[in-house]
Amino acid sequence: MNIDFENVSFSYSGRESGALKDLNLKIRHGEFVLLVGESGCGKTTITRMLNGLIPGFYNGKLEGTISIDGRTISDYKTYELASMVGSVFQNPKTQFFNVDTDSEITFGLENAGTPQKKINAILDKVTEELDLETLRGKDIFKLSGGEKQKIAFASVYASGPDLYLMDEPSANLDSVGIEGLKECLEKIKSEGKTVVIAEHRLYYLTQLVDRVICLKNGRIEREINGDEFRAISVNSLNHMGLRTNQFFKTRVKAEKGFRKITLDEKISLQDLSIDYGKIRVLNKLNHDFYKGKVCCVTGRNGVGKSTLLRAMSGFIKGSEGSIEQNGKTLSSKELKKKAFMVMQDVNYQLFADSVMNECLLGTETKSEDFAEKVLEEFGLLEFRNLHPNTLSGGQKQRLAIAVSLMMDKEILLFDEPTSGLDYKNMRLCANFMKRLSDMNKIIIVVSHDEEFIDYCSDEIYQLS
Amino acid sequence: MITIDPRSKLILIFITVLFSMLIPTGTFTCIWILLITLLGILLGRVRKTLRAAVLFAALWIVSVYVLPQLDGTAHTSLLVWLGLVFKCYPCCMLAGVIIGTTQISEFMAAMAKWNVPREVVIPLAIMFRYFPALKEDWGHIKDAMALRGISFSPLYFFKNPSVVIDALYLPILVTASKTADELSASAITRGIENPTRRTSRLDIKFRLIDGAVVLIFLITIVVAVIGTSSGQLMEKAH
Repeated sequence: MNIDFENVSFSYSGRESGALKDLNLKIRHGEFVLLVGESGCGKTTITRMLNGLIPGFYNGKLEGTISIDGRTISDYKTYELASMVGSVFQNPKTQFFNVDTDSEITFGLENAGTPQKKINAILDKVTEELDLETLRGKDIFKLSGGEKQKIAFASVYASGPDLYLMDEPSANLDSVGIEGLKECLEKIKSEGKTVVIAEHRLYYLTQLVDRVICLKNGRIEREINGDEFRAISVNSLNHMGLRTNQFFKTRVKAEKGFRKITLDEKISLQDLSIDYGKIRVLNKLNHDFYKGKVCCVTGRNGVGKSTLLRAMSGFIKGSEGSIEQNGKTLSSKELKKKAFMVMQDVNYQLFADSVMNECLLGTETKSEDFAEKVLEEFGLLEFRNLHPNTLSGGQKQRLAIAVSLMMDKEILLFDEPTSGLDYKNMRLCANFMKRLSDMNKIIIVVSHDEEFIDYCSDEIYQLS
Repeated sequence: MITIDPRSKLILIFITVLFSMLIPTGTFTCIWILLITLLGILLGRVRKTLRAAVLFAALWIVSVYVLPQLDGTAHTSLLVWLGLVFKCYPCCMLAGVIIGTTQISEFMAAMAKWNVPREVVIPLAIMFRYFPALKEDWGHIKDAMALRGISFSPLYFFKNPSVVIDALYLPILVTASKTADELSASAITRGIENPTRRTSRLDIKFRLIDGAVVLIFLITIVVAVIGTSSGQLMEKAH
């Protein structure tokens, strides 16, 4: 599928970020194109133009012409594009329409009115080609992020589009999930399909890309061809605000030496076990978390990382063993007082109508002056009167951290803090972890993001 | 284990609504609940159906043995409350069974066969899909509130109603609108707006079993109508 953007400009109504300015871009049939750049640079906007969500679903001002195989895109109805263009989105939670996997895979075919026999033939074929036997007939809500994303891919693949659009498909995946995604991408590339993918995490795409388009503030800043991209150094990528193009795993850091631990205070897991019903999720964990040290908890999806965080926040009780502080067992009530979790989707935990009120909510002893100091520390003071919902993802996250400081929490727990963050915000987030550790907090971070772990962790605690 | 057509399920809902309108609470309500319980189990939703039936039985026992012991305001308020619950119970329980045993795509295909316009079917389907998402969101929001020392206990709510309402309102609103947006966007890119008649990978058609189930419900409601009206006639005659 040949795609041609000619002098295309677009701005969303009511917001500035994500706009495109006078874009000229040609994509050849069978090309594998990677769109990169900071959050808000316009990469997602490009994908939305190609699947017809702009201007149909997202309103705004659109100028210039976009054509697919010589025909203007606005001449196509959304459902005509649906059979030619397959889209996989960032959030595996909200991109499936059905509750069971089989219906989801065939959803596009059913919408297009494909006869029943053919639907089932395609379903079997897709199952075989993408190796989905174990995922058939399952409740999608019970799948892991990686499995969900695989079903999302399969459901698009079933309709046999010529163009695949992907918008940060790896954002919520662990390294095994990413490996599965990469296999899917290799498959469509070998079938000669055209692929346009917007991403922050680049390493898994390095061998696949034909061209990398770097966007900045809605314009193409630089184009790098595939071979050039494969040869480029990590340093110069970082310099451009991009993540690494190499697969890498942080070393276990024992030899690197921890920063000096000033206090001998710690929270310890003593043979901690947790059961959900009859299933043992965590089995006899023993570990010490020290003040002033950033500890990253790693391990595959489903290994119980989130369960550990929930136990340390006092939401669930251990079925055996205990969580102790300096030899004294902490009850779940005490843990609730001491611990604060910054959730992966921080939208759940912002309640107030302004940034300042968010800080003051739930604190009785802290003054507005103190709140100002905390907000300044996190670069949020200028937004003090804004509604939290108008902040960017990274800013919301920092606001949640500010709240934890307002509440004098000493244990800070983070669940995948860098999912969906660009290089710049990922580095910022790593710096804040270090700053929190300087404040003598106990910091426990669950993350799959090896680059981030490498920047901020003092210790890696691998669950298995 | 049986499966029935989503359209039969809608017909059953309709009959049950009629039942609740026409038949006063009494023995027939128990029979109706028994029918729904059997249906739920046959459709493969065993545990939750049994739980609902047991709950109904417990409430019924309360109305028979506990209610007569009370007097004054307690009696009146319990009587009114139970009366309302018994009126709604059959419909709610059947709705639970049906939502739990019908796939969204199956429902959409059945509606297409009845030529129900997409403008009606799509919002309904999105609603179906939204319930489990809401359940997930709800768990997260409850956790988030606990982190801020806001609890869901009636006592806390009584003391600080506005705090609890605010803490629910914004996150639910924000996540719900985000979820709805992303769901719709993904459905559009999958061609949900296609005017061609929707097909299904499953066989959507009325079978013998559909007829049998609908007939059983119909016969029961007819018997109930005759039973109650003749009962009323007898009373009048006396």
